[in-house]
Amino acid sequence: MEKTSNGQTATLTALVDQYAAGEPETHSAPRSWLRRYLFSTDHKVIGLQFLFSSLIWMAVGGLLAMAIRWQMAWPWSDMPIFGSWLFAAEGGQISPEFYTMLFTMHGTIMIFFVIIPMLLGAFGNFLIPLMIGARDMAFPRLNMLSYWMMWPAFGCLVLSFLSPGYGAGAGWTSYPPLAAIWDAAPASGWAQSFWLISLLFVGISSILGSINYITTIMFLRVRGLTMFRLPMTIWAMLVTAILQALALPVLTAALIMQLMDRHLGTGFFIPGELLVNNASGTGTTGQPLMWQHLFWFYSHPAVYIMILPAMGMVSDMISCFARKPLFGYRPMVFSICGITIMGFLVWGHHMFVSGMNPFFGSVFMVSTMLIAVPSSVKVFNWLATLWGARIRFTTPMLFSIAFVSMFIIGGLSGILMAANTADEYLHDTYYIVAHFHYVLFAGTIMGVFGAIYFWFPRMFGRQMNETVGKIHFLLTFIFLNGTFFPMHILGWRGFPRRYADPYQLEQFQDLLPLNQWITYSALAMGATQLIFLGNFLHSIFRGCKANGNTWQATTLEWSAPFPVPHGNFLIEPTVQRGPYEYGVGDNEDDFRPQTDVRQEVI
Amino acid sequence: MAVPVLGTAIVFGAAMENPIAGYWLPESIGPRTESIDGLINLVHLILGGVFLVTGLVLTFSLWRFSADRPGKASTRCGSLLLELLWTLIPTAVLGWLVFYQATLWDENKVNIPLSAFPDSEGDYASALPTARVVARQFEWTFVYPGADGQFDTRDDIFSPGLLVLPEGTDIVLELVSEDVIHSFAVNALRLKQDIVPSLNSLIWFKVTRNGECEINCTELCGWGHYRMIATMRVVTNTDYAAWKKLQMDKLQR
Amino acid sequence: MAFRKMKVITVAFLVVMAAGCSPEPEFRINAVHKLTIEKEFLDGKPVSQDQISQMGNALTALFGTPEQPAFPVHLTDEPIVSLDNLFMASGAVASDRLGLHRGLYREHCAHCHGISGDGAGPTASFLNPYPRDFRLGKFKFKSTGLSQPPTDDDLQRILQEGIPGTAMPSFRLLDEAEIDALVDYVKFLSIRGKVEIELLEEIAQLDEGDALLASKGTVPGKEFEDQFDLMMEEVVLPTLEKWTEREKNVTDVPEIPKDFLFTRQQLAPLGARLFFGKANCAQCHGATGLGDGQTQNYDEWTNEWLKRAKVDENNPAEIAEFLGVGAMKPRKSRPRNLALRVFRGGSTHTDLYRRIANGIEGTTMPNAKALQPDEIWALVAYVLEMGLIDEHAGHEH
Repeated sequence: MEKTSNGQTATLTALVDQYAAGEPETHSAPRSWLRRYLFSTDHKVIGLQFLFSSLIWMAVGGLLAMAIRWQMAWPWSDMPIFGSWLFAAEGGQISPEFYTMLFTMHGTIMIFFVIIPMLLGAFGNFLIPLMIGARDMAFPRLNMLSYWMMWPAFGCLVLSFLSPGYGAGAGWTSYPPLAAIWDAAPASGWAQSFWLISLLFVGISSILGSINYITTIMFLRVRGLTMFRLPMTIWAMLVTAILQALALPVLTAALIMQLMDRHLGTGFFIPGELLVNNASGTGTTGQPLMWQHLFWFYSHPAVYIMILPAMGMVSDMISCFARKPLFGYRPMVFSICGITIMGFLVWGHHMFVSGMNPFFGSVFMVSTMLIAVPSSVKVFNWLATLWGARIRFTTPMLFSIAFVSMFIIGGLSGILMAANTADEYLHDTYYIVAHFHYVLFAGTIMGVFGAIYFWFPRMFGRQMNETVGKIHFLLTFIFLNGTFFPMHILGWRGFPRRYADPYQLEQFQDLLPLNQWITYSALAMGATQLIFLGNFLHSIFRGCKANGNTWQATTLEWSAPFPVPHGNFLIEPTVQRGPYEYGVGDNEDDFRPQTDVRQEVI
Repeated sequence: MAVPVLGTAIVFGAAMENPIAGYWLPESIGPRTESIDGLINLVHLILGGVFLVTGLVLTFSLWRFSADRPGKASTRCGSLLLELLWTLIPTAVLGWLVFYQATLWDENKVNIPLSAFPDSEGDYASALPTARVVARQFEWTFVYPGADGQFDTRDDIFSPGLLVLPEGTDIVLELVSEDVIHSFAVNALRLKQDIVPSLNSLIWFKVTRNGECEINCTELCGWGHYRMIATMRVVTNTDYAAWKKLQMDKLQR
Repeated sequence: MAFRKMKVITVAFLVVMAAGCSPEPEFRINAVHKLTIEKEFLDGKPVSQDQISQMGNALTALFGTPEQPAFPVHLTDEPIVSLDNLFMASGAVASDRLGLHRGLYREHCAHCHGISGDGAGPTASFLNPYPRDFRLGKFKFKSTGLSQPPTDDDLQRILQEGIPGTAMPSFRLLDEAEIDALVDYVKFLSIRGKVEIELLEEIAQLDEGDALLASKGTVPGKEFEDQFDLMMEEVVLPTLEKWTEREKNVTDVPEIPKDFLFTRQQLAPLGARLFFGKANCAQCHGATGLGDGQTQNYDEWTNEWLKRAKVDENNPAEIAEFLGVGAMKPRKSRPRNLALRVFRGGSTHTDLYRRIANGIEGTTMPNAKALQPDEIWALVAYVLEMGLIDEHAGHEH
């Protein structure tokens, strides 16, 4: 543990040390298969469990996206495969409420079952103890519980798919009264209730995880690893966990309130005597806008939850493959802290035209404009890192560069939306869809792909095929731009999102060919991921062996032996230096791992 | 590995492949539209500049500083001056943008001009909106006060799916929802306002060109969300009066 | 190695894609009616499969398929539908902007009203009220009298304006030709459905071994032709005739009293007396017009199977048998809440006059045979005034 001069902290440290870090020591590696691979308390196993379940859900979410694109390109024409199962009597033509289900579930799955578990569950779990030199998480059982809380969530989501309406259909934002009134929409029945319960479980899982991450990072750092020697990945995980721990309770409360509105006859979000679908009113006096405030109070920070860890991982990968120290490490740290704090003050920009007092619109416009500053600082620092570097174009590096360039597009379009007068026009159009897909797919998912290629040797002791990886990168990159860039054009024309058939409006009929182009791109992008799948599965079993420091990186996870044993390090490492000492020594030996004891000054 | 160049090429490729009528904002039909378009164009110009500069820097770095280049990477790991520069310049630009567009927001969403109410006799208390927009699942109905100039009386004019407005005068609409949240959107006016049940809101604008445009709903309101469309017809003042007269006569049927 | 696996996966994917391609939709048999006649006439024994397939063949011969509809146009002097319109409305949705725009029905109607016009598309069960089942030939809001088909104008108006207070939207944005095509297609589905129902009734009267239509050529002589002619004579022609006669059955609306909008308030007290007395509206619509009077009835689309097959509405198992073949879960039909001032069949004075004078087909709302035009106008006045301003509403009694 880090030595502290403060006596109180030392006592607390000792206590946590005793409770938490003590456990892996008193337990040797579990022997039974069940405890080892299924109900494991080992952070690496839990990380991989998160990784695999997220990848499976990613396939489901991706298929839903393909179905959305199908309808956008060839509205009401018979959907292949699934159409003939679900709508045999209609010849496979999907119905409008099925379309609302498609985008609702696509959003829900991608956000709550793919990105967040992938970043924090998979990489957070796998990397945090390894990168700070800890033997395991501070609370290994809590960690296991955090993963197994995902399974009730999975179960409820499947139940939602099986309920009337084939799954929740009120959008991933689930605005009441549409979502809160049982008769308001085909999928507002049990499908919506199961959706809410499912998200509750995800929330519990994430809260458990965040507490664990914060404690681990604060108290289990190895000797010599001061806060400002932490890799950016760990900083990002830390602030993300803090964001999550503070924001998620609000969403949890809101979810419970909506469940109560639906099942216990309360009226938090349902105003009086509404006549929805000829069902009688509830006679309550709630306020629908309250849901939006509560929801976005979580879901805007969630946007940063979904990007910050990727930013951290990308920073580490860029520095490693640029063979150059990360430019402006401290400003980078300050800017993610700034994003975290300001992330709580901008939720209202989702509600510029929601009917809340327009004065608030001005307030949130100011805070939203300002939150662009720390993000731009990060971008400039990445660019400065690349300047004067010696770039090794490996697959993870390609994905990281793509992350930076795509994040620029996604970030810049965010500034336009922060201008509330412009947002009035662009709100709920495909411009928004383009923006968040540039941030979340072209940003986060590209970062995640890079991270998978990068840490794959640490996970499985083998390397993924570089050539296939580069093909995967190139195709994904081309098709993602082909898919998401034209959506800006749709947005400029005011093309509304969540429309099963926008061509009902005459002004959009000429946009059909562009939508067909997007769909071709999207289908090709979906098919490209089969290359990744093949490479991934093949490399787990047959990839080139890679037991050492594959990428000549400095951080602690590469100093552990392979296979990484239960307890991670044979000898507790001692950190001597910061995480980004690249570009020193001669060409073969141009980096200094954090544990390196050589006393060069650079 | 000129990533941004590739990206741009793809975009232009997409453009070649699909010649469509317009890639940019739709035609403008009123002063409100023009000011918003001005803002959108301006911001895009700034953003385009930033994109171009960062893209060039990135492309240049990727081209210039590959691992094949002799020597080692620079070990420079920070510069206070640069950090200050690229913190303060964006702050200044964004700060300027804040003030530039705050006035537009006030005009469009906060301060209703009294002139928007022709019958107001100088105070807001007696001001009456031009029409009331009633949204309900998958249908727009527009209600006009009849000859008595009052809403909720027997001579109210109900016009389902067709909003007729006079050209060149300030118009105020009151938005009402009967069931779930809807959103009143007119792309030609760059106008959008959610309609929350229990919260009636006002919107105001002026149209300077007659013709027809489409109204749609932009807040998910159920399975038929995409069906919730209506027509806005802007006519000259005389035609407007004639149309209202016709509707009043129809009430007698 | 990785490539070989990928190849396998890709091929498998394509095979699944190809195999999964959807079959063309067909007109579904009216299974609810089939089960009803089995329960009513055959003690629950299923009708013979031969007879059903003979009926199917006859229907296909007369009316074609959802892809290629046909219509016995030669049977009537004046055309009921135009084949061009049917072609335009039918088929899969063709989103090709340049070619002919087909598939209007599947683009705009089928998810609620179903491919066969059975009012049981995928969205239907969530809607309240349910979408109309066209096959019974009953339409609610029209200018013609009870048990008469609606005129083209009536159907056009519904498509133009929608039905307020229901999920039926307005299709104002379609152009006139498209609306005409849809109107013709609705008539087509209604006639086809009605013929199917009549044929099922015929089948119910046949012995098990008898053929509805002997196969062509199996029996030398004229058996097939005879039976076919008989079918035309007894089933198809009467159905068509109703549709050719309908314009003659439009009920007259007498001249509306002058300046009725403002004078009607004087008539309202008379209307109120009728509302509670002679016309007895209050029995169903309730004393305050909230639609809370007699609310225990089902509409005729439900009674058609519920009552005829003597289904016990409180026995979920019996209901489930019908739900299993595609019936909608029975919902009690609610008299209109007049206070809402939302009138589904239109809210002009003339519309309301027609509703009261003609009644509403398929519901318990009767026609007002016993009332004089003056009295009907008075009722219209009362209905419109009661929801409007309190001092005029319902205080007279």
